[in-house]
Amino acid sequence: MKIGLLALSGVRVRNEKFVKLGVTLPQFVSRGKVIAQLPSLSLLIIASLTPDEVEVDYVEVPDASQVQELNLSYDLVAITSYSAQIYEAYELASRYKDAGIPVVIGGTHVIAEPEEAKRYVDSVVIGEAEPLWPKLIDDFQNRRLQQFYKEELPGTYSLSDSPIPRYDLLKPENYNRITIQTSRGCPHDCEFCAGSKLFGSGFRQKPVDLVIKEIKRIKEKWPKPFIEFADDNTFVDKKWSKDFLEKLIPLEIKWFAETDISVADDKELLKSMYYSGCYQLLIGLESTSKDSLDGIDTHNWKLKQSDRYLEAIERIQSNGITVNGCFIVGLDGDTSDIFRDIKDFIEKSNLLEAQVTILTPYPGTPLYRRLKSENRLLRDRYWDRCTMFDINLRPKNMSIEELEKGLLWLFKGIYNEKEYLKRKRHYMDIVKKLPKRFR
Amino acid sequence: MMTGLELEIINTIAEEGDIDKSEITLDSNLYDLGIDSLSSLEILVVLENKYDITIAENRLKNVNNVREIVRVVSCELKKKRK
Repeated sequence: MKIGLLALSGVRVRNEKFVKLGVTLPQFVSRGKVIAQLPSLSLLIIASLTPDEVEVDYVEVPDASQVQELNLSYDLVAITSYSAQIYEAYELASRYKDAGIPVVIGGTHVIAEPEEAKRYVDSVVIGEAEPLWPKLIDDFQNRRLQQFYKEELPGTYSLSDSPIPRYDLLKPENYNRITIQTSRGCPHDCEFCAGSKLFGSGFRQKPVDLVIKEIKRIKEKWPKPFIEFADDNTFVDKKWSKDFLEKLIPLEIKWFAETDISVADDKELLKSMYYSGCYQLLIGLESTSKDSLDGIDTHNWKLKQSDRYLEAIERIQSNGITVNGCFIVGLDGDTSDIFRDIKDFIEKSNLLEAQVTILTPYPGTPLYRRLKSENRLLRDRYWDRCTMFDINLRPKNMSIEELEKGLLWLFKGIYNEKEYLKRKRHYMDIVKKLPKRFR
Repeated sequence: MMTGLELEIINTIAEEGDIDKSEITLDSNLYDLGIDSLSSLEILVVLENKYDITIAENRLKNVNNVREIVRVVSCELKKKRK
């Protein structure tokens, strides 16, 4: 028996103006390129959960429309996709189904829209792979594949039981960065967040030793890997974090993680991050406007932090760790002043990299439900526009045109060569004064 | 035949990027060698410390292949000697 594991990869942008801008402003697309090259961790986990006697074939599909010939040697096809590529995934699934090969689909989009997905596939996985995939495979082998596999109690699967993803399926030369998951979930409960809640609420973390074991497995194939911790918020538990970083230092890897601004409060943690090979932290600052931050998360945690954003970024970056600051525009508190405010903030803060995206109501999120009830979604089932660079909602305090124009203006202001060179030089001046990593 | 500076810079890139120096030529692109943008900045810092120079902001543009790094370092060294 052979299973084709197909990941709809790559990033999508529909808005022509932003596509064109990407060509002229390289920093605008650099993070997108990195994301596009990351392997699909969920499919590598599925491969690991598949019995040894079953052959697995891991394939990334950057553009499903370019798939001329289907691989008909598969007995089963498993697809994962984000919302932006979901229609391409459905089309590919339909082609396999028409060829007589059963198709299973999973991922955040279909957790939110399982009935929609069912129209194109034989079976939909609604939840995490670990508790569901072994039963699905057993059912398939015994010719009783069910239409839906749903996690009974989402968020209760213990990550201590996580299998090590099948990194051996990847060709080393195809990947500059390898992903590892150390945790699932995030305590901040932001209204727009799709990733951290669809697999169950709460925050779960893998034991340190299991993560270290995964890294060692990766190092068997990539002796000096650049690892991207594919978490919603890696450093929530500071005690876990210090223990982890201490064990990470001797492994001499370079790494990137997503976390929140609270790491700036802990000097010891920042030092350990630097010495253990941290190159960049991606932090969701979300906005420079208090009105926009108000209500963004359940406890207004980000609003409470916002006064110290500048100081916190300075503290993190002065430890040789660059910050990729993420901002969202189109929030309810935003007026047309937001674009200049964000530009000023980025210049003042010396953020090496900044990521500005448009508020995107992903299906299944509280934001989606609220905007739908307020009749502010621009179209129905706009999934292929869930790119974070396409406008899908009616902003509260500005027009759609103002939002688009403002963002284009902001991109030109922050991603131009002159500004980027200034930020690069600032980072080099910091690193110049620091001792070498991994000591 | 490569110059001493060219060989030294290739050695530094090989050491910092953990790459076999036989894989590096003057035309090698850092990204193709598996060196991402942040690591390439750190290589420049190592070269700055090694030669006691500071690469001017405007010279950081397009420093993405070995030949360009050699050119930039060479310019800064000349500036230093003046």
